Amino acid sequence: MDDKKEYIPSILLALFVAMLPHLTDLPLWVVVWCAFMWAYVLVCMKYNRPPPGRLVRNLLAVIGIVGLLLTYRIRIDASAYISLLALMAAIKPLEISTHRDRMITVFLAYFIVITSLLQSETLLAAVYMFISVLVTTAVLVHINDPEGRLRDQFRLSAIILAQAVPVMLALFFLFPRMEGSLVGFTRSGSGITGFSETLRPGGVSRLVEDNSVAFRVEFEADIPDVHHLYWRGIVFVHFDGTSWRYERRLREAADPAGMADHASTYRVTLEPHHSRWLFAMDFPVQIPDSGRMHDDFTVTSQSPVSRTMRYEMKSDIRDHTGETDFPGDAYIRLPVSGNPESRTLAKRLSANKTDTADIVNSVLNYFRDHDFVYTLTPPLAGRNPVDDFLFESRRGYCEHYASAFAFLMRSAGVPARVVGGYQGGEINPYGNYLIVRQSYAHAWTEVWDQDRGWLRVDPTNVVSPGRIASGPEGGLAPGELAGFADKYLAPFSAFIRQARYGWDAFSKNWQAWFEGYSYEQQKAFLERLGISYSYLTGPLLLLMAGIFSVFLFIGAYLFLQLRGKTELPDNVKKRYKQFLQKMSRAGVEKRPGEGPVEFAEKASCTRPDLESFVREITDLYIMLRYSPIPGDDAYLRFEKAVKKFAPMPMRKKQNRSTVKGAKHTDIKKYKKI
Amino acid sequence: MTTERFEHIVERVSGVILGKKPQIRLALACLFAGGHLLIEDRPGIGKTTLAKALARCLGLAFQRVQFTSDMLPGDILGVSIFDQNAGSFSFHPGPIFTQVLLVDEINRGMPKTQSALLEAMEEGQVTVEGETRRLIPPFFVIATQNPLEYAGTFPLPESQMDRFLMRINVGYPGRSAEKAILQGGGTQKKLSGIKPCMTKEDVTEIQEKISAVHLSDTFLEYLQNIVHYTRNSPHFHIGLSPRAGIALAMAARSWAYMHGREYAVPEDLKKVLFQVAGHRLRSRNDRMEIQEARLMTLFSEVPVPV
Repeated sequence: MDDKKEYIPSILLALFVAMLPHLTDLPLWVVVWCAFMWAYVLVCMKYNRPPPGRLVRNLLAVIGIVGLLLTYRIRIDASAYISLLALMAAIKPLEISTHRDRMITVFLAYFIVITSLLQSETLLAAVYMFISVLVTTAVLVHINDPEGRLRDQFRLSAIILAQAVPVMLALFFLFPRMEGSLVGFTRSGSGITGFSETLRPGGVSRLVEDNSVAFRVEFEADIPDVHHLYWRGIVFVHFDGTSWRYERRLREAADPAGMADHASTYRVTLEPHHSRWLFAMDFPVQIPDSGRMHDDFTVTSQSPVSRTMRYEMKSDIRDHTGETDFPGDAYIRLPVSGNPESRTLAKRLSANKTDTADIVNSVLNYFRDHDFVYTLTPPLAGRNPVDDFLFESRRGYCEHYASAFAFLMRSAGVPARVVGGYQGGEINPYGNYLIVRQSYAHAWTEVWDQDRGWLRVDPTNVVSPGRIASGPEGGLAPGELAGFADKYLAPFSAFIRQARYGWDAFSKNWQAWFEGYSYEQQKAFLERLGISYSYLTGPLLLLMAGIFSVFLFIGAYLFLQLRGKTELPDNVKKRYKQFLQKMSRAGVEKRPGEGPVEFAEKASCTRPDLESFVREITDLYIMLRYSPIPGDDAYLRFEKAVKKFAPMPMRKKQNRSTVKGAKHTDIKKYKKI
Repeated sequence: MTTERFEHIVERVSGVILGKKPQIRLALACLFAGGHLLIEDRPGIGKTTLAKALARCLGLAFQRVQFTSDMLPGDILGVSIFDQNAGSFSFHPGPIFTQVLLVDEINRGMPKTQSALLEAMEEGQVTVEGETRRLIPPFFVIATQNPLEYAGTFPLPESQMDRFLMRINVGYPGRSAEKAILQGGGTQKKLSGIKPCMTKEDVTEIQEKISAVHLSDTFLEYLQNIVHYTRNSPHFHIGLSPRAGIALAMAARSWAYMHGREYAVPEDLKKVLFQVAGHRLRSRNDRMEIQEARLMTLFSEVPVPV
């Protein structure tokens, strides 16, 4: 037990920096717990109070674990693991007393840093991880070399980090990638807005204010016209009067290939959205191996998308599927009652019309002629939402139009369904690809017709052509989306836009290289280097076994070496050098050929004011260095004396006047040598 | 405790040979380390007086041999003489069968006579006429010699020099000491007035304790630094031998013990360094001995391990 308190703030700093990115993900009580414990440790240190005893610490650990069990129950995901780490990292500083404790706590900080990867793999997160590793390593350097300067400690830390980069890259590219997520648990999906699996009024407009990226698309050829950019996600079939649901029992598409008049190949980098839908441009003909295409032309992946996913697809650019069979009664089914006025309207608009196109046109004309307004803030719907929308408010967002249109079509006996997905996208001039943000979420309708199959009809386009032509903001009245940025930063908006695109292009490449680097990519990469993956596993296993046994040997060697050695003799040297450093600052330099006693004599002559300190330290040093049994506490006393020793720098005048007088008395002190 | 005891001897001896306390201390350190002492200086400085005073003080049996160029080994070791009454040869031990042998003007003796001392000094035994006889410890040789340039001297060979643990110079007395010498009633009377302040057993005990003085790793590292320095430095003709290293260790132990410590520090070594190493080293340039000041300046470059 050496009980050195001065390291605690730096260790807490390392823990804090490591924990910072998790603060928003963890339960509030865990955050408060950490803050309280760390503050308590600092207060203890300041007022020199002893930390709580073993019993209290054990009790705290039990309380923390019980709290976690109550919070998470059986839902053990990344957040639960990180919470456990956070709880323990909060208690650990309470029991820091030895060097070993300090080391363990710093390693705990490294552990917390690495858990960031369980939550996020974005470029920003990675950059932050580098910073926290830098800080943690600097703290590690500090607790092992407390006298060094801060700048040197950070420099050493940076050097170590830089040296680790080649190893990191080699491991990243060559270490076998695991399929599926790390350690088998999923990331917590809290706080991620994604496409919802039911469509109800207000569900899509919520997304419009969310500027985060849903996915990015690189086209092999030119980017198609914006009117073709309908990214279908979910097809909603079942309507219960207020909301639409998708068909859970999807059948696999028979054979999507074959029709490809206007084929376009593109690569999608999909941000994690924690459900299985993959987005495809109308209408997909070729899908990735890991995906499945259904007979409604939606594509799903085998497991929820919890990591950034890259896939390549081929679509045929058209607005109808081509001839299909009658889809079935489900597509004209409506609730038995409700929305009576709408049903009447549908009957009226479809009277005397047999051609589907005519019915569609008459309904679209109805929308066009009756002052419908496209807005983000429609009034709340009542019991008959379609009636309310069509006849009362006439204000709504895309899902209102799609829902009402589909309702009218079904009332008129035309098979119809609502498609949820995204429409449009921003073209990033840096890299020439398409950014589709959450705000591009859209809902449109498809109607069935004997000749053309499913035909895309977008009623929103009739009401607000600007939505399709120039993105979500284009369709709205000016000012409806204006936020802080638009109000105050208008003069810089062009610049900000540029910067944003630049950053997006940068992080897209990051995603492609880092987040999207999967088993398949690694296989491809190695094959490009001429290494067969299966060929590699044998040598890799051997290599790992080799490394393991080398470490085992080193460990055994160190164990045998250090067994029985309690105090390393080098500490004495280190402390004495510190003392010499301090003396040199005080104006007395030790020549290498001088022995400790000679030096002490010289020092006492030059600085008679320091004589007693110099004597004490020199005596202890001689005891430690030369005597057979220095005594149990000699080192501690020596260390303490050296630390306490803080000589004033030498003043020239004072020095000259005292040397003469001091000479006689001081030499007498050491006469015995 | 021990320090005072030694200071007491120093006081006594310096009552006879005035103003030479440092030399007396070194000489005592040499004898307690179990080593032989060579006192080198001009005639009339008090070499013999110092040797005699030391021997008397330590309460040891004392013999003196004056070396001359016609002296033979038998004069020191002893001879067998035919006893007509007994009808056989009987051995008449020479002056070497004692505890302190003062060899005056050792470099006036012939090499043959000088080397007769070798076995006695190194192994504590003498072989006369094929028969080996042990000397009763403690056995010291205190030799005096005139500087080499004096007429009628045979320089001691290096092997012989190496047998002496220390060589000390006495030097002229200081002005006030010389005045006291001139005022005093002659050395002989004072010498005979010295009473021994310890016994043979005391000396043996002190020698045992000194050989138990602890030499730490750091100390030995410094000692080795010194020895290696003499072997690798361009200033020296030949470096210090391992025997010289042992001599340094013993002398430092003795010095440390005389100053009340049971462990040696680098300063102990430095205090005895010139006396132990000076007569074993030659300058590379002129094969001459190196002056004390110069030698100590050279050694001050050798780092003391921290």
